[in-house]
Amino acid sequence: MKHHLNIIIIALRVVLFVAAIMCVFNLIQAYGFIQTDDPVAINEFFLNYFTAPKLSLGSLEQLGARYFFNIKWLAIGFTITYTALLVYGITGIIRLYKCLLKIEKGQMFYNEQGAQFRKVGATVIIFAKLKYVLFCFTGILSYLDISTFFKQLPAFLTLYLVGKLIFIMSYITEKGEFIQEENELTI
Amino acid sequence: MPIIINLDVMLAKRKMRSNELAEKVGITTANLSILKTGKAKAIRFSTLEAICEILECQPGDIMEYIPEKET
Repeated sequence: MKHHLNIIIIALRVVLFVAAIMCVFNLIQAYGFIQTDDPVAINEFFLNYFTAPKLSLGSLEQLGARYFFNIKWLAIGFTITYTALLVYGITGIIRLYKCLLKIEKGQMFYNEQGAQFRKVGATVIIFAKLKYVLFCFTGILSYLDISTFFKQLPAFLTLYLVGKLIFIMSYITEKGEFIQEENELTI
Repeated sequence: MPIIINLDVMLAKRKMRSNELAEKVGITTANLSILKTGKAKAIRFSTLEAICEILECQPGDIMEYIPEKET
């Protein structure tokens, strides 16, 4: 039990570290986009996430102009929104991390554990939904990339199911909390 | 809870201390205190049997049901 928990705790630490790095990277990117007006850099950045149509860069800019937005501000908006979303996700991971640390210390069921797990589940599900919407929205606006709807689906479904599993865990812990209290108060 | 524990009364009648009863029953004084203060959610038949045997009484002597008044 403790061995499995240790592995999950280490994995969560790695996830937290990676998410924090991604936040910093995104903020640096956003700052870079604000400072410079380099469509090639923006194009390269978006190519990390989306598939570009087979058009020249000039055509892409025209495409952007046709859709009444500035690709530069779309990139800035995307990076900042994604960072905010990651920060929101990090708060959920930290909450889960604290719950697991308490379980590792031997407190199998404790007060407010169910509520905390429910909050973590809700955070994961909201994060999954918002990330899916953000990526689809940006994919469509930047490159008219409809395939994003399908490409983001596995990541969305995985996170969504993880969130639902954590929700189920919250019900189990609530029940466990109740049974433990009853057991402790049985003379 | 509408179940009232009258263990204090029986202890006073038998002139016995809580510590002594706890020791004879085989439970901790903390648990006996939980029982006396009415915080307990349940009582095992074995515990009830031991208490009744030691205090020479019936279960009804140490607990009674008083319906809650409607507010």
